[in-house]
Amino acid sequence: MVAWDDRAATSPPLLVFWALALAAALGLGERLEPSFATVDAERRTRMAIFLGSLLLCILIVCVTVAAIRPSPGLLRFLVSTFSGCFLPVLALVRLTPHPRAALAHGFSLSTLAALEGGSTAAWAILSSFVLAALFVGVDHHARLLSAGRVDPRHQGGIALTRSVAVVLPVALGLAAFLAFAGRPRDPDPAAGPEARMRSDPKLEQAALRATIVAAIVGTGAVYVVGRLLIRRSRTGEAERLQPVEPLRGEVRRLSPPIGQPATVPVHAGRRGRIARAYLRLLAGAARAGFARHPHETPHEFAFALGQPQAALEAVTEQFVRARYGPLEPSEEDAEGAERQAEIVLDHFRRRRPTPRPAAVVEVDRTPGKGPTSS
Amino acid sequence: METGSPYRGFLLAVAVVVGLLGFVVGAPALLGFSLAWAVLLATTFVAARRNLRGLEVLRRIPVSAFENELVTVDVFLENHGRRAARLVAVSDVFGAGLADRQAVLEVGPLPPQHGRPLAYRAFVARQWGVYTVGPLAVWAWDPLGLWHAAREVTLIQPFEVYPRVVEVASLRGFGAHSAVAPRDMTEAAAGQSLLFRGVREFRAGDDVRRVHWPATAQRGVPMVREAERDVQPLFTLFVDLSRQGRAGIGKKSSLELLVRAGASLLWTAHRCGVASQVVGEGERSLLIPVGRGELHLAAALHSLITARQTGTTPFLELVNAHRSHLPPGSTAILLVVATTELDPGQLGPTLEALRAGGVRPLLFAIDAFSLPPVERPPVPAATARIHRRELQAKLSELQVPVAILDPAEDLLAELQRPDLFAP
Repeated sequence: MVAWDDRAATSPPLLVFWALALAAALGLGERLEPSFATVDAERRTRMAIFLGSLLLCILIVCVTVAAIRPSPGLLRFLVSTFSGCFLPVLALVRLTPHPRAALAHGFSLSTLAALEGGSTAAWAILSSFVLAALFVGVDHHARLLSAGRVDPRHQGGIALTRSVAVVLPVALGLAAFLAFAGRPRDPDPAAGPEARMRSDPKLEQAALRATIVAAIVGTGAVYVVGRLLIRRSRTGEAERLQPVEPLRGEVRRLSPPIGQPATVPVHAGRRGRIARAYLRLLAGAARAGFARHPHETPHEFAFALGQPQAALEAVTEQFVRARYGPLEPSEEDAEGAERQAEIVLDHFRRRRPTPRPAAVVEVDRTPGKGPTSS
Repeated sequence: METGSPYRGFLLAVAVVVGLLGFVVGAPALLGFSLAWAVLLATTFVAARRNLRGLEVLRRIPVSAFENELVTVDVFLENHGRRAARLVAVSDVFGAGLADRQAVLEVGPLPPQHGRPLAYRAFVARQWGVYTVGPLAVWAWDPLGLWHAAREVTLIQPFEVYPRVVEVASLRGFGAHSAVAPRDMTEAAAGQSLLFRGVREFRAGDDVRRVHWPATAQRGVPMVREAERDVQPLFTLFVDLSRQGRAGIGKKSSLELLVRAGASLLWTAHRCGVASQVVGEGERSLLIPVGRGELHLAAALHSLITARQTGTTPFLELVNAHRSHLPPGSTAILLVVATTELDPGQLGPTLEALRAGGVRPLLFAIDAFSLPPVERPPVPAATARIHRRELQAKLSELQVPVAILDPAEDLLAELQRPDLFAP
């Protein structure tokens, strides 16, 4: 109204009247929520769709007519009418679970104002963007906390802070864009509305064609997107999580996971060489399907493995002495252990070790099947 | 708790339409408006995924529960990231409950390198059987709630639901047998327990250390102390899983009644501290050796709920095969499905043989004559009534406690009757 009606721009009481009327309509809308809750959900949806379609038609007509610049009187009438339509939209805000109609109408009014251009357009666009984005953020927090059975009383500030943190950078960018890229529609700010109406008829026709095409394409796009959204909601509803009574414990610092393998001790010198040779042997046996059991000692493992006996016994003996003995092994001991370990590994490559006998045998009495082991 | 945003599609449409309009009309304000929404949508998309980084979940759940119990499932949310986590939801699928997915909301802030234990209670609403719990998922949203990100943790654990059980009031006085190891229970017979029974004269073979000197001095002949005998109550549950006993479907099937009755019997034994074992022959051998305690009960109940009535060995043959392994003094409970396939003539000798071995038999017969048979042609009602009367007459001739469980009655209420074995 401020953009398109000069009287509104210079009449603060008119603006105050409209602001109070909108507030009253919103209050009435909130009051009507219990009444709407008694109406069948499907009937409410049909009513909302009908009213939404009606509003959309009015919007398209208003935008189209506004774009081709009718006479000031007609334009004022259209703007006032569309602004007035906001009152029933706000009064019926609780007809649907989410106030998208109110958002859409607000965006429509901002769009109409933006067609005027200049500072009014920038202000309308920026404020509607910021307010709508903050509303979406706070509404999300409220819905999530309510669904999660959490008391939302102390979360309002946090919801607003988090929303502002995301919206503010984009809003600043938008403001900068509007400041540097926006141009007033009329180069002569002193000219009145009548002067603005004088334009080239050819340009007017071109603008009219472009606007009608844009309106048709836009309506088609909205229709297609709407159908897609409805179809998706029918075939696979957006996943709903069933919130349960939450039980929360105290926050605690994470400790290293239990069972994490301890760091392998590094033995320096010849003891380390013999230990690493033995570990390579164990790794090779595991790859060949004969892993050492945790409870097995080196000698028990060598006995269970069996072959090659001589090399196994030698490397096992060297490992035990190097790992647990008091004396430092000699260079020959280290080289011998490494050599014997390679012999064993080479034996595994040529012939896999015999698997261990099963400890537990399950008897399957199905005819034709023998006992299975594990 | 809706995971999707009710405004996302709307804002996407607004961005497109207003952008088109601004482009055609040449209004930079509209173009900027459209661009701002597009940038905001993109920013929040990235933010939703970023909020999910570093979050891990673990779950700890009991392995089993009874029907209609409330189970507490512990969930651990850990933040291994570098940012504090806010408004994160952990969802889980509790297969034994009716809800699709259950979610717990963590409001935060959960500082980095910290974790919080959460928990939810789930009602075991489904019938006995084996279900799964999982997968776990952690959900995060951007601050405006336009996008959500979720990560699923394939942590699926089995969860067993056991049938509701009651104490079988009339099942008292379990047969007991001498125990080698000391037990809490004793009986008024000579034995090795710590409970003093009396003194008697010394007999060859008595331990000299048991001589009661004051009594010896008084009587003038050697007297020894005598203690009561340690006994171990033991009952063996034979379950009829033979294919011939299959009848009925669903909640009115012979398997359903067998499992519920068997579970209550095992529960009663557990509550009385009695050792028990289970024998059956279904698809596989059902053999739970003698034991006591919760783990043993869990193993026995697990074997019941996973059993199938597809055995090929007739029930009485199974009882006779295991009869020799039953220690004298113990109790044998035969949980049998009474159908036209059950031969009353063979039942008597089996029960007599058990008694001859010193085993006390109890018979629980499920009256399946009224249930539609499976894999057999239906039996005329008159024939079924004749068979029922014959069986009842035969059972009444045997001097064995018999309980006939009628599928039309409430099974648990029947089991709780104190006069269950009354003729």
